[in-house]
Amino acid sequence: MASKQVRYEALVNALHGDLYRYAYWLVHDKHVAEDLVQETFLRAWRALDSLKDEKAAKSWLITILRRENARRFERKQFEMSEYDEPAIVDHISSTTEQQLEDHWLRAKIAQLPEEYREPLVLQVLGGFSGEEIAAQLNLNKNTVMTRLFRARNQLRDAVEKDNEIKERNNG
Amino acid sequence: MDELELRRRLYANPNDDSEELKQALADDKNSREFAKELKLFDEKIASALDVDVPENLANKLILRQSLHSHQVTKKKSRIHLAMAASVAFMVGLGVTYLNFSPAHTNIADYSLAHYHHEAGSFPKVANANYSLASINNEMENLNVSFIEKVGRLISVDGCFFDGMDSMHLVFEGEYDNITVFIIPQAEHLAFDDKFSDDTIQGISKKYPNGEVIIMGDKKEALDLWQEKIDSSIQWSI
Repeated sequence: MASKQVRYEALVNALHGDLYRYAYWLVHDKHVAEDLVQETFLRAWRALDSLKDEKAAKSWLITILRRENARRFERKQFEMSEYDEPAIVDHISSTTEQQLEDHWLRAKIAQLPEEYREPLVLQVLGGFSGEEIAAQLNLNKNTVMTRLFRARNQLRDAVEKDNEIKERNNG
Repeated sequence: MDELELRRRLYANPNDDSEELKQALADDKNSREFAKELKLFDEKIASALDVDVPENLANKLILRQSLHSHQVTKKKSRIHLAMAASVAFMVGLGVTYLNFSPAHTNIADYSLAHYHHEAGSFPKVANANYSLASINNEMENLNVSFIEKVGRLISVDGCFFDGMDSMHLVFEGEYDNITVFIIPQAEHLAFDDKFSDDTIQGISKKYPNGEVIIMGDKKEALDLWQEKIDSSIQWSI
């Protein structure tokens, strides 16, 4: 029992941040994301004995979280694909340039279609390889790589468009 | 690797460090610039994705888990306690029931059971030592007495008739012993005025303060015994 507790706390400390960020990008709502993470870890606690390979812990947790999120949709049909502006905004005043840039890019990432955004989050935040993302999302690797390409491509386009607008305004 | 393929690969994964890609980049300065640019862009994406995690989330998760498992163990131990309690209760109830509750629901069943249980433990011949006074003395507790001797007595003794202080009298009969039970009012036993089994017959009569049950061989004239007892018996308050 004690060792299970120790394992659990180690898991929480090591991975709660990644899991929360992943949840956040999945649902665009801080509170829902936090609830999802809570549910996920509670389920993880109950099933902790089935986690044999500690290296697989992160993808194991993400699998639980995705399932929890799907369950949430079964319970209550939210319109989550709509980009929820207020949920993204965090204290624009008194921010650095970096924070402004992050904020701008966040809005663009949030506007990406979910099927492009999710592999991107898994790759950049989760550090998963193409194969791992394919396994997680139940897709083949080529599909995943194409979606990753499109995700970055769309973001780059958005940046360039934004730069053009700025230049025009400046000029 | 053509340029389009190179771009696709870099867009899909700016940190692709396969030999193929390294080779392609080594050959072309523009591509190297592009790769560098994309890596920088990916850092920006990473920075943007890196939203703030709520303070104390880790502690909350640990707290919630320990509260949850505490509740589960508490619930479990409560269930166990309740189960143990009800088992103990049922055992207690069962023991009480077996000890104190009547196993028979009517006079006939009990009388027959009692009769057969003690059959053969009495001599066949009357004991001349019993005087009317000694018989009445034995029966004093039950507040019952005989005015005159009702037959040739083999034995008289107090007994428990289904948990009740009663008298058990055995007389010499014509074919076999006659057994008489004098019992207090038995509200928990249904009254049967006539009963029998394969070998034994019995009759009983209700009095205001009790009942008299007479049992004997099927050939015995129990009515005569009942008349005799009826005329001799006296209940006191």
